[in-house]
Amino acid sequence: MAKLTIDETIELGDISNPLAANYQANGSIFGPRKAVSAPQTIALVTDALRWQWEAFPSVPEVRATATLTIDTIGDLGDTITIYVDDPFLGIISIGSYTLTVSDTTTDIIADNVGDEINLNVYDYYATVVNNIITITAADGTGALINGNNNIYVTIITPGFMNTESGDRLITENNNNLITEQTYG
Amino acid sequence: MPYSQNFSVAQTPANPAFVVITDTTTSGPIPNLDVRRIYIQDCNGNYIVPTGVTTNYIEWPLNDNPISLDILTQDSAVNIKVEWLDSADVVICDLDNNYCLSQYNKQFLYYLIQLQSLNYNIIQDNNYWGNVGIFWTNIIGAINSVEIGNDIFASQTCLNRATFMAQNQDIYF
Repeated sequence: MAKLTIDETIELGDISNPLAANYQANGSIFGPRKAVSAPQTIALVTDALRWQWEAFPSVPEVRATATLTIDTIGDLGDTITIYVDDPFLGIISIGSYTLTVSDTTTDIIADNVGDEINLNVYDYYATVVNNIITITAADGTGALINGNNNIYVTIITPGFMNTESGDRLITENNNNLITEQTYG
Repeated sequence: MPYSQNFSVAQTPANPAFVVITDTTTSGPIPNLDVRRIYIQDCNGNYIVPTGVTTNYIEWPLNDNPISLDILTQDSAVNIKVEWLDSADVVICDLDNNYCLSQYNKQFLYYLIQLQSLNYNIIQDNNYWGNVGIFWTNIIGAINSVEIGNDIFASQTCLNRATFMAQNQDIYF
């Protein structure tokens, strides 16, 4: 059975109260019933819940968002990892993507990073428009996740690439300096 | 021309000392309307006003809606009258109603139920559950006295009993 909402619980209490009272009343015919205070118990607990719910109704949460913009295509093998400092879970990785040869535009990279984020199990999700990834915080994090330091991205480059004799030599370093040379 | 002015009253849940009064009038504007006044009387006919107000009424400017008044120290059954006046302080129309403001005790009942959920065995304590029932009955009685009987004196009597129990929770709960 699905978990009842507060409104459903109150309604159930209202329905149960006369049923319980009727059950007690039947005791005069069929013998004493147990839990003689049941109708009162149901009624007062239902009222307590009703009044508190009226005073402090649930306000739908506006989940926080952050944006990540892919503004360069980076380098083959670069690994982009997105971390969140979740108010309940601490620092977690919500997605990681390593660039491949098919990542030829920032839009494609953004799509692929967004897909990886959407595989996370922490209820964070991403939507992508062009090269901008909008990350929506997990349900229930509320305002606790607001602020500039609760999401960050790391990019790890693979360092020098393998070369083979006779091929065009492409080298790369962490300063993103690319050199090309053709051996005759 | 008759006017159909109206207002609503609510106790602020986050701080039950505050009463919020909202002018909910939907009819057209009253010609020459200049200001409103609020009269709040307890069950003994005493006027209740915020600290610093020296009149029996609270001035309620037209551009201040709703108005929040810090007037309560405990739950109270009150009569609230709003007057709509012109610039010569002549009352154009007025409206009054009785209200049972029971937010302090309602929240205390919920607090009791919360404690009970943490320590279920408390209902085995001598008279505990019976007293919770009496406390709840007093709140219900206070509400019904106003909503059914339109009687703020009876309502205040019920509220006083509930308030006494809440203020002496070490005895009753």
